[in-house]
Amino acid sequence: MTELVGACVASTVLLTIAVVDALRSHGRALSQLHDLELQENGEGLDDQETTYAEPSEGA
Amino acid sequence: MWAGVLAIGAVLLVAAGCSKVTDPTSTREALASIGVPVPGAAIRAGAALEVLVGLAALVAGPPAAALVAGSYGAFAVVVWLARRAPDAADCGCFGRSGSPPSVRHLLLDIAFAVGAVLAAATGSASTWHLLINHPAYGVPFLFVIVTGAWIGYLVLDPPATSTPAREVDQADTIGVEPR
Repeated sequence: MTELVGACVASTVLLTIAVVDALRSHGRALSQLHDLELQENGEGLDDQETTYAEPSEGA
Repeated sequence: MWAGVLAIGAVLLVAAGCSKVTDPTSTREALASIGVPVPGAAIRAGAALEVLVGLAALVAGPPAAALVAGSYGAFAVVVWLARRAPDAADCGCFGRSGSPPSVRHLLLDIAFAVGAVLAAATGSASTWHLLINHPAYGVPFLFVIVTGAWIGYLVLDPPATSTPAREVDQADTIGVEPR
């Protein structure tokens, strides 16, 4: 019986490490995507400002 | 108590040995990066020995635990040296994996070595003994150790961390509005 308990404890420790590692990897990936999204949106805003400025200058 | 750690380590040894027998490329590169060039045939022979050690631990239990402890001790030394090597890209644990030698590898190798020593010291029953003589405990024990070994494999060789950042950049799931 103690063997089964020991195996369960060891598996739970490994599972905890795996879950924490997966969450950290997921967080890193989300951070990268968020940075990329901010970069893309920032470039989009610059384009919009340029497009908006041209007709006003022409008028 | 420590027989579970020994059994999980033994199943991982069998899995890693089988992987290295089929494809020793990563292990050969890892050993070459620490200045120990070993031909593929020798790595295959060592991996076959690794499989035998794992099976012996599952069948005989604590009497074979010293071999398991020695194997994981050797792995810990290789991972430690690979971490110090400037051009070591793979740990070489599973033959063809692309997992870098990390602190996690080092700590798990040490933990399995210590667990094997403690299993030998306490003299617990082997997996085979439990399956044959106490199937009510043996079958759940086998299920738990195989599951634990699978999780241990995912910890040692996580699939997500091998994705390069440029592939993430090119993914369609970014959610950025098209311009």
